[in-house]
Amino acid sequence: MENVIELKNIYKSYKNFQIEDLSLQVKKGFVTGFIGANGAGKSTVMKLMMNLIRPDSGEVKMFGMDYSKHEKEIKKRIGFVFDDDILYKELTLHDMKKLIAPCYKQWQDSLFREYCDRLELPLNQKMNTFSKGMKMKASLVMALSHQPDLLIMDEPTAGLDPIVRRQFIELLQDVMLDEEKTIFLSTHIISDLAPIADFITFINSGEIVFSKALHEIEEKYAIVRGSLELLDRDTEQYFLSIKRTDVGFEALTSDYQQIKEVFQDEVIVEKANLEEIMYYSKGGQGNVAFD
Amino acid sequence: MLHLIKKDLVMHKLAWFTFLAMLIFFMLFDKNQIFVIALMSAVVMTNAFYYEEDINGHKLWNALPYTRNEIVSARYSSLLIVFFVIATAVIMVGLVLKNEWELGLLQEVIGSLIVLFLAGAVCFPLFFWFGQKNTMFMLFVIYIFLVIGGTYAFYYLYRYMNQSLLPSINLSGSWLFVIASLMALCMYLFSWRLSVKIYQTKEIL
Repeated sequence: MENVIELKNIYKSYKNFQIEDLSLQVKKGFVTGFIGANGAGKSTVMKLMMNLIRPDSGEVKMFGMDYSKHEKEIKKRIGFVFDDDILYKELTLHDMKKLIAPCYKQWQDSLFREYCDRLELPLNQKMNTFSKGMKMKASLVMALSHQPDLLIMDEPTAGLDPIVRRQFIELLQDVMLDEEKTIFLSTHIISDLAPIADFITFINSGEIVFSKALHEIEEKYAIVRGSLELLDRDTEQYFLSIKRTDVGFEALTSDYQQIKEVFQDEVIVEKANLEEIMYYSKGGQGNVAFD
Repeated sequence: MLHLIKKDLVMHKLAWFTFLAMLIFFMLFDKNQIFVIALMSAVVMTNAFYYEEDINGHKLWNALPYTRNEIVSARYSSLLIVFFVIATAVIMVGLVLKNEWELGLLQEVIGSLIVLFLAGAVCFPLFFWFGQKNTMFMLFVIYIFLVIGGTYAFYYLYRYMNQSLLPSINLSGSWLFVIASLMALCMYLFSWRLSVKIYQTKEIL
């Protein structure tokens, strides 16, 4: 499978945060959800992808090209939606279109109008009168109207009401009917990913914990609950993280089948959802070890 | 890059009427053209920088298919276009108000360009360096005061040199303008290059 985004051995260091030897591939034709807690490094990685910041060392390749030589070619093929407000407050959506459209040769006015109609966006209303949801929808329409090969979205659904979120997700589903398109989106709202994501990449403290197909995660990851006597040096190795409480332990495993075979009926095993995986990976509370 | 320059002009939208009103106001109060052209051009440029800071335009325009070199160069080019527009407006308004050409008008126009070049040469690299930071507002104020102070400094320096210094060294006022213009242009070009270097290494937050 062709990779649209390739990050290789990235190092990026700030005062209180660093990314060390991060490598990541995003496959063409799929939706990859990028999850992680606040401050885990999601926005930093996305800025690296957009060339807004540069790595201290390592390689960022987009569509197999390097930003240093092909910056404009790369950016022409990307649509972006940022979490913050980057639309001119005193301008209308129509004015914004007049500013953005000439930046792209492949911009389609008919598509722009179609999306605006579909998302019920007024063209002649100033941006400062738009709600948060309308601004996000406007950003998405701008990002889609030049028919990008890759859509990068940083927390696009954060702070949106359920109706707007649903509209947003439905539109992305329609975009993905074209198998040449790729979407990479970060989000806190894990439930938004289930209907659209093919792959999930999980980042924690600047490290990629895993990057796997969603169905693989759903099949293999599980929460295991049992009594503390079951834990010893041999059994602990089956878990990615363990939380001990007064009444027993709760642990995360990435091998549902193996746990079933090893512990049989002595433990309760339930499929883990992404939020639980994030929670346990982050450490949760109590005595947790993470491999 | 042409589109980026166009953007710098059209983003003000209706604010252009406010700028025109300010321009007429100053001219009615009989302010020197050098003052009106330099100040109004600086106000328009400050407004362009301010709009970008207000909405984090750094993020927007760097995500669009433009290089950082183009973004910086567009801003430096915009000053020239804005100067041309404002100078034309001042000449036109002057014609309407006074119904005659003033003999020193050309000198005033060139003088304002020299002041704009020098103030821009000092402040624009700082705008790119400190972009996305709270200090920007203070820098805008400094820029405006630098332009105002620059016009007066230029005016009195010119008078002093024209009356006292130049006759003693056998040099005409025109030569003074040529030399000053070349020096200001060199500084502006150097500042342009410096801003490109600064912006290329800047982390867009």
